Amino acid sequence: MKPASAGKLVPTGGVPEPAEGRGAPAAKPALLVTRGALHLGIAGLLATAVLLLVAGGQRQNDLEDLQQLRAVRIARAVAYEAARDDNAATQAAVAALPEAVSGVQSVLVLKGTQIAVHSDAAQAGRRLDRESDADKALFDRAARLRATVSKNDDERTRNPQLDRDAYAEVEAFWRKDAARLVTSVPVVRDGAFKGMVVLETSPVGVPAPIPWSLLVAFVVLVLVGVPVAQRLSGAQLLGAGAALLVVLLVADTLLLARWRGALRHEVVAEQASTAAALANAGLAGQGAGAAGPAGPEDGPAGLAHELAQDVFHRPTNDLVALRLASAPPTPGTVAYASGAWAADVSEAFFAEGRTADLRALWQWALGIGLVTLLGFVLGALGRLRRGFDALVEHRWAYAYLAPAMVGMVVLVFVPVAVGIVLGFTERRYNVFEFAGLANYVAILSDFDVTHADNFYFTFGVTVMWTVLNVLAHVGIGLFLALLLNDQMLKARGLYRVILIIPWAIPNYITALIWRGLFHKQFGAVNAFLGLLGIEPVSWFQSFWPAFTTNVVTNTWLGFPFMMVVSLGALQSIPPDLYEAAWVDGANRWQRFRFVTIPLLMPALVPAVINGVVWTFNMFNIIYLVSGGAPDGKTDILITEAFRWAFERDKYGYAAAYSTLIFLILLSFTLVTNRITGATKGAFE
Amino acid sequence: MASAALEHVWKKFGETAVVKDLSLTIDDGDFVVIVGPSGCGKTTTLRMVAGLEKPTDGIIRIGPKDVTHLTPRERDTAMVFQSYALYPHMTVFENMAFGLRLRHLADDEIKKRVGEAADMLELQPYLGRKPKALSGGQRQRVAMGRAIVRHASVFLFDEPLSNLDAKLRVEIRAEIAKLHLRLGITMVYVTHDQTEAMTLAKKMVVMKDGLLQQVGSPLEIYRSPANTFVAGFVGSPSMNFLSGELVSVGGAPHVKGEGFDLPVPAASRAQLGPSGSKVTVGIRPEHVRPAAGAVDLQQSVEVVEPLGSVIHVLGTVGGRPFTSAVEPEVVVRPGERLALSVDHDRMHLFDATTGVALGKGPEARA
Repeated sequence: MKPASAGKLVPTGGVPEPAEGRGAPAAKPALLVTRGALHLGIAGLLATAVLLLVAGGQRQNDLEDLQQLRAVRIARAVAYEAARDDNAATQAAVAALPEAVSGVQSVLVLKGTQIAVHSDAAQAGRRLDRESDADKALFDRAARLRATVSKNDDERTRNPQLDRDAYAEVEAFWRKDAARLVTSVPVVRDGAFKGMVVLETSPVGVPAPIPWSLLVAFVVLVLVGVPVAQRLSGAQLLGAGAALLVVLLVADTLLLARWRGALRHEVVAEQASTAAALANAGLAGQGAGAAGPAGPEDGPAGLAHELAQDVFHRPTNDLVALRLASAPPTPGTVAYASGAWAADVSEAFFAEGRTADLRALWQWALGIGLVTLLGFVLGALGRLRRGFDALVEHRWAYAYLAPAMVGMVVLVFVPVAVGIVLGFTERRYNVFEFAGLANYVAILSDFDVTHADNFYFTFGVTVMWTVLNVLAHVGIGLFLALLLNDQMLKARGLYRVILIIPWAIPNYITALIWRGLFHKQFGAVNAFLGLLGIEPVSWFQSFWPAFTTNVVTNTWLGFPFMMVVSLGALQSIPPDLYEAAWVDGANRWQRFRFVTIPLLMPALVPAVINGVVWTFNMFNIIYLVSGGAPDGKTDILITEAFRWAFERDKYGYAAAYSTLIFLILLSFTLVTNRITGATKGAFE
Repeated sequence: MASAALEHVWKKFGETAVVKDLSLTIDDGDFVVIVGPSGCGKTTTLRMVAGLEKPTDGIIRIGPKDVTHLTPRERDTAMVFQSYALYPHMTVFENMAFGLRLRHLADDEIKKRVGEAADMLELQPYLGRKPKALSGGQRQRVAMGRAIVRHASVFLFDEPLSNLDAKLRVEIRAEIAKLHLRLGITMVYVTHDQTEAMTLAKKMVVMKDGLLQQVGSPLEIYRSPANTFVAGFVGSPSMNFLSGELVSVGGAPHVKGEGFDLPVPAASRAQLGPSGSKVTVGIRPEHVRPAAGAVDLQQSVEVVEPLGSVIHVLGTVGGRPFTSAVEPEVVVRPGERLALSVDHDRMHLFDATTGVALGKGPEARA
């Protein structure tokens, strides 16, 4: 392959043909244009396919989430009723449910080992069969829910401010045949577990078809585009391609927004009618003393309150919930029977959806307008022209760079940006809402450092962890490097290899090995201490021993790097300098102090800055060795952030936490770089 | 300031002897230049004086004191390294003050000494700079300054000019000579460049393969080299060597070879071997001139190098390479033959097998 006009970057290494493309105008690279157009078409098709796939996946998720929320609401309504402990009344309501509410296949209420209520009246009152696997699974699920309820109760006792469940009191799974969602919620009265409601539903709502028309439209566009592209020069082609991509992006986004809006509209309408159906089935209003941290309320308002909460008993603010709160359904209300209420809700949502679409459109229009304006300004300044010329001139260079650039954008910039944005949101039942600086305020305004999950406490532990580790890394690394740098030492290569091994082993393996070594009963460390007559230590029971295990493990992992860096720097110090200092009258220590140390600094300081950043964020060791034990006290910021996100389900909070970590490290690096700028380039 | 001496010093690296049985005295205030080709052991000798290498055998004295087993910091020598070995992280001032600080001199004294040295070397404007911000010549002067401030007994220079360009080399060479005149300190200077050695040395020491070849003032060595190595090494362009045979012409000893027949200079006659023995004739290019009368040599001219003040004519005599330095007025072209007459009194004769000079050399008379 030989690009016809890539004058400067021909990678063939051959002698460039004389004068061609210099004085005389280069031959029109017809082949290039055709190929370019082809590539553009293929790229466009791929992009569209990917967008459609992503959208499809997202849509599937949305559907499942909404189905689950709906199922949880129905089940909660039944649980609310069952909490009254009037089996006959509940039985009556439940029996009517499959008829009244679409998608409901069966409902049962399990109390102890008895199926107290069942939508199939024949099953009501049956005791669980010890020999049946299905019954055993049912019983196990109830046991798990009972444990969850009691854990939540404990959690709430310990932390009275907790305004929600710490653990979701829901078990939901799609049965193997996939068409049925099985949802189990506990029946709770006065905070105590009384039984379990098991609800089987089939999906409702007709999924909107994937808009294949878009793909067809795009194929047509490409078919038209190729002949047009063939008439364009390379530069024009690039411009056209960029424009096409922008159009594509806008179109896809708009389409996606509409599509999701329509989907939610359907589901909301469905849920509104579900609420009405529930009310008509006699499930609204009779329940009493339902669980929930916000306090029980009787009557319709109580049920409305119950239904307006997510799986963690946090208030949700979707439209169904809002409607329920403002106008609780009551039995016999004509509005419910007629479904007018549902229509009302849907209309409100639909309007909302249209507004959202419009807003998206406006944003895009504004964005494109701004870009165009910027383009005009830059173009007027000639900058765009020059930048574009450079892009065209060095297109092969940019082509070679493109994979790396795409990788960086996708793997680094996008996640960082998403993380930062996430920090300003709060997640309420899968909906991320803008929360302003609430997360930051919550993190930074809590000064109660007696708790292990307090930011400042964790920050203190992290700083101590980092300082101790880096000191140990540099100390041991430098010491070993000085030993290895001694020309008289025999088998230096062998020692060097052995000492680098800890670095070469993946750190999670090392972490797990060390965790084993610190095992109280079977660990080598305690066995060794036993030989010395020391009682076995429970390494993970209290802070300092647990902290020590982390530091020891990470020191083991970290010193080889500092050793290698120091050794390299030592070997780059000219021996003349030592001799000059010796002749000048310096003894061994003075030569180390005045020659070695200052000349190591240019290599060591960046390594130490790196080391601080790595250690500060050394997730694996903390998570795998002490695991934060005891009670999260040995957690550092990064593991704490992980726990906020994936154990406590506070994504926005965790993202704000991570952003704070990022800011801390950023400012650390900026400050140290400035301070140590003087050490840069002691050598030329 | 002090004298120094090496007594039967040997240095071996493993089995290889780098310095062999070297004895040398360096007088107080002397400027001794050790010169020789690469690998002749001159730098090793200097490093042994500094204490950076331990002699395998023999004794080294500085003043009356035996320093053979002392470390460099106990010896009171100052050294200028070939690479200058300036501390890159220190300013010029700190570089020069380093040795004084280590000796815990008072700040005033340090400032005074560094100031003096900086004045002497014209380094005042650069005291606050780091070495990387200096030119090669300035770095060189800092290295010297670092040695000067020490007021050490012996000054050691290890090829200090080899990293400089030709013009700077000449300048700094003159500066070193002035420095020695002004300070009057004992200096030992190692170089492979015979011009440097000739211009700087009070006493010149020629070494080859770890062996001392000749010690003397530069002129002594130029005028009466002890052997063919010294004769060829000292002087530029190098001495021409022709092989010949002793013959007797009318009772007077002559040396005869291909393309020449020359009378033996009176000074060399004392030690002549029998007629027919082989000798090497050494003739310096500057000791021939275009023949006005009797022709001693016919040179086939190959290359003519006009240098302005002199013309170097490269060619052959009797098939052996021969260079002559003639006055710029002489017109000569490649391919021609140039008839030359030789200053007979300045001819050198060497034993053809050992290379040792025959007789005390022409200068004995001069």
